[in-house]
Amino acid sequence: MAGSDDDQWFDDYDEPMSGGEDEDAYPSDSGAGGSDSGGTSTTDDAADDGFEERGPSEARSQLRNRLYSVIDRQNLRRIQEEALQQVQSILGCSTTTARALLIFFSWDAEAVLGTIAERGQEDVYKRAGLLSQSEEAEAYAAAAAAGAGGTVSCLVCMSDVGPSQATAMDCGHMFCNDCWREHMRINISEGMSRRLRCMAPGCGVVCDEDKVKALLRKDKPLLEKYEQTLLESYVDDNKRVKWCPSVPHCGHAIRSKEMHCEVECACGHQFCFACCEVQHSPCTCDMLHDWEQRMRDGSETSSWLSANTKLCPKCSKPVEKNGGCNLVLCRCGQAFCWLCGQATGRAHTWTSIEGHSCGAYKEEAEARANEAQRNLKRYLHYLTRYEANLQSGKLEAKLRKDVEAKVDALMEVDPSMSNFSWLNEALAQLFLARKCMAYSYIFAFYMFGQSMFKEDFSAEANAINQALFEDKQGQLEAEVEKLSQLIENPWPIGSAADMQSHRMAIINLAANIDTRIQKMYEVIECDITPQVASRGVGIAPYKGRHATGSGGEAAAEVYRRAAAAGGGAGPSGSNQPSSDVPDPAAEEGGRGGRRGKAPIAAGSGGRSKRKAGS
Amino acid sequence: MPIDLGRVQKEIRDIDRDKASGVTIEVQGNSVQKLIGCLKGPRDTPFDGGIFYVNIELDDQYPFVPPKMRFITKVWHPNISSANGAICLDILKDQWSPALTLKTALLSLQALLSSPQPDDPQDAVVARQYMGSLAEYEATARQWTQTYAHAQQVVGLEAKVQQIVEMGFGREQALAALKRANGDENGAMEILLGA
Repeated sequence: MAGSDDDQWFDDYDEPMSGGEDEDAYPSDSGAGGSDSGGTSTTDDAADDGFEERGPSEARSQLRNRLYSVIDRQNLRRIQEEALQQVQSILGCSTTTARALLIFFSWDAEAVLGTIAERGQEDVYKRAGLLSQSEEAEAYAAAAAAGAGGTVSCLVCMSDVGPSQATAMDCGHMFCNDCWREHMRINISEGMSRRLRCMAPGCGVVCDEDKVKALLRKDKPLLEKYEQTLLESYVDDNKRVKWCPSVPHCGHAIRSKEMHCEVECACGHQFCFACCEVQHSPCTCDMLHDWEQRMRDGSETSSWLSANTKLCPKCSKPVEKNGGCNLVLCRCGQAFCWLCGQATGRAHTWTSIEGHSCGAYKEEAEARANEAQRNLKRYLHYLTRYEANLQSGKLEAKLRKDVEAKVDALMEVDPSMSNFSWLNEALAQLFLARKCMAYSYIFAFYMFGQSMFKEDFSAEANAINQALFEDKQGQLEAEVEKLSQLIENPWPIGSAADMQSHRMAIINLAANIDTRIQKMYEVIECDITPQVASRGVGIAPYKGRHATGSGGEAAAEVYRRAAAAGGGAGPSGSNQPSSDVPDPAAEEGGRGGRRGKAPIAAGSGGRSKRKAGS
Repeated sequence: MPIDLGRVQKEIRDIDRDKASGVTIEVQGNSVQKLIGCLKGPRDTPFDGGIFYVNIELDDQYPFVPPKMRFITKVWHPNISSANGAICLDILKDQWSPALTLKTALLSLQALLSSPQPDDPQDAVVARQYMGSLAEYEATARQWTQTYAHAQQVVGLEAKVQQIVEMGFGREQALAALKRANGDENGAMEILLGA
């Protein structure tokens, strides 16, 4: 029945809160109806990776473009164990070994197995800290055990203890239990649970989990912290999985295939997967970061942070240098140069950081100082436009209210008007376009500013790029303003014919805007970013409003209201659908309405689908 | 947990006993958590003949965390800051092991003086000179050793320390101020009175 591809989009759109009573709310991949959409997720990735997709509605999680999935606390353990078992079953190793390998390879099981196949087990084990690198391990143990009368001499506290009070790790290095415990306590409380290493100089073998647990069995809180950190390592050490940044934290993590991707957590929080900030396409994370820094300038915290910390190139957390030289090691394990902030690779120590030089900065900074005046003006130009668009976006709530009033008035005049999905589409498109516009100004500010990308473009190429981009941006802006006016200005409610053409104009404009945004992204993706591809400029692609946008939800609310009113409850529009007792009449009405509006809506729906899928 | 006093005292005793190692250590004041280490400049290096003082601070968690070390004596070396004596040495950072000791750390500093690692410099100016013109580097390093670390200087320094101590300042305070003032007695007094 209503399981066709086109309907799939309307279903998601119309009834995200319907509580799953209606089969149509679960679109299936095959489009063959809702029969296979029951309890388990059927997407290919989910099946492959063993990740369950969870969300407020199955329909929405399906719509998550299948680029990413949500992991909750319960299945985090299971997913991690699956990864461990995968490695264990092939290598036949212990859990500690499997975990150390996976942590070393950022939980990429294929990389673990591939590298072992390529470089040999011994080499990989050594690098992951599983084989002692100090060759005198055995002699060491023998020396330690050679104390008089069978006692063990611990080289840390320098005292002799009975053999039962000492433990040797897999590498053979033996120290007394008190010293092991203290070593573990300090490392665990500093968040280094997953890098608990042997205490012998130059050894670095990962401590066996069972031995750690045995040593810490009396200190329950510490043991729990240890186990928790090991569990969370699946997210913390995994480049492809990130915690949802919602506050208060919802407990979910997101796993994404693409680094530059805009994602929505099961809790409804939307964010950029790469930087965990608000969604900001088409500007890049660096641009947003720099931009916000500028906007916050003057705030004391941020000025302290900018003066005293550098962002780790791997985990992007601010790192404070607490002494020593310019090779800084972040808690996440990434080493980087304090002067230029560039990653220098974990293996680097003071003996091997060859070729790393970063003296170029100062000259550039001086040249920039001369341009400060010009830059400030330029910044203000973009700032005004950015804020104007963001401001219009923030007025969403008010606009929505106005539109609801208009819908009520319209239905009073013409009760036959029961379908307002066109309006929802237009509103969602408008809000999305506003957001896009706002961030496109940040993009333009940095991309054409001859500072962030100074080396990448000649002045001529830059001028051409800017002209191309501004042309598309200008066209988009014009359409956005037009649509905004059409929706906000009084509607010709009295005349059915005029209203019809007004409606058509809004529908067409919304569709135009979608196309304009795509054109703007085409310029970005096809003309501009390929020129700076070497810089790794990551911009989340435009997915159309179906995949993103709080506008979609806001508009959906308007529609539910209208659908309920139009379908069964009379023309007053005052009758709200009850959330716990779905009104079959209302739903029937909504669906009937969808079929009824066919030619125009199906057309625009089809178009949206294509974009969203691309 | 407070610092493991037993171990630190054993370490100090061990260093005192081993006269041949070329390193010594001295407690500053009442707490064993503040120490001053002393090492001889290695032979056949521009540091030969110099005596170098190192400020050592032990955290409560020592030996599970590395000791904090900084040269008090000014040194011209790619891995030691010529301005504040900060040291770039892996075993004082992430390569520290609880089974290492103050003695091994001081011996490593001595070894660092003999074999600079200019690829990961603490002091970029020195490193550039080391890479560009070794002879010039050696001359500067030797001159700094003569000026700031030479045995006679140090002997002279001891007299100055005594003078300041007689004026009612602590020994370590006097020593630190003299180091900061590059051995200038009046400068040290100014620092002490200003502080």
